Amino acid sequence: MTLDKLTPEKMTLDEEAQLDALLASHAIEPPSRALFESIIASAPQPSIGRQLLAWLNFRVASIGLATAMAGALCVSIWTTLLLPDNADELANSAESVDFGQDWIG
Amino acid sequence: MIEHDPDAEFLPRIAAGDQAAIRQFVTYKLPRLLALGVRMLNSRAEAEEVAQETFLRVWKHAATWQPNGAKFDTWLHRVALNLCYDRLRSRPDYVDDDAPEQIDPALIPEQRLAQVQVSDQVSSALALLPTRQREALVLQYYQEFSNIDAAGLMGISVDALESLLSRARRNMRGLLLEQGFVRGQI
Repeated sequence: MTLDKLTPEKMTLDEEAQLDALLASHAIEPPSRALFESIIASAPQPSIGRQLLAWLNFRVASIGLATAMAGALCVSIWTTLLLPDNADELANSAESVDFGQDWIG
Repeated sequence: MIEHDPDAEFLPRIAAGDQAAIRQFVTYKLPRLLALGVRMLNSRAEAEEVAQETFLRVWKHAATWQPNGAKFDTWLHRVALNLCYDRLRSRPDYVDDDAPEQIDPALIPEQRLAQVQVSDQVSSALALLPTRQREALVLQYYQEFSNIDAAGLMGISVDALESLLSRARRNMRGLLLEQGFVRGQI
């Protein structure tokens, strides 16, 4: 034991720290789920106007997305129909290659 | 001029009925308010009622609340403390303090000092403190308000708060010693 442990100042500090430790041991149990939910239930609800606006926004966004997807599908089908049946084969065939007149004779 | 108040940002969303904001706000504030109530009233049931009433006031004032130099958390604690005081005043044994400077443990009914767990002993001792001393200790120590904010909340000077805190701690030490804690444990 060192001498400074015996001084009144040190004893007071120790007592304060020990009191703090005791105070800290006083824990409060967290709130119950029932209390939490009852408080949430008492909270303001979104107004009808706001709910309607949110619903309309959702509908407009949904319709916009569906229209865009349908449009993309239509364009895809239309461009497929425009190509000749043997487009792939023609592209790889020598017959379709124009060598140009400069190469002849 | 007060510094940035994160709670104030919740208020317009709460007023608009934003359920996510409301849940987040209650999740954050309810444990603190409940702890305040339990420590001030020494009754969990009453503390739960105080917490519910406090949140009703929040819902009511969310759309119109103005800082007026105070943080929202300070206002919230003031509301909760007022509700606690309403209940304390209605108790037959309520004493409008700052009454006794020092508590004489000999005057405390023995059954109130029953030897139970340490946390309960601290709880019993807290309940026996004069109300203003308890309020000062709860705000400064448990609710972690600065001395300046706690004093502002209580409507007293910082010097007066420090005096209350000093008496509260001295009384707590005396009460805990009386409950069987030997010197050296405190």
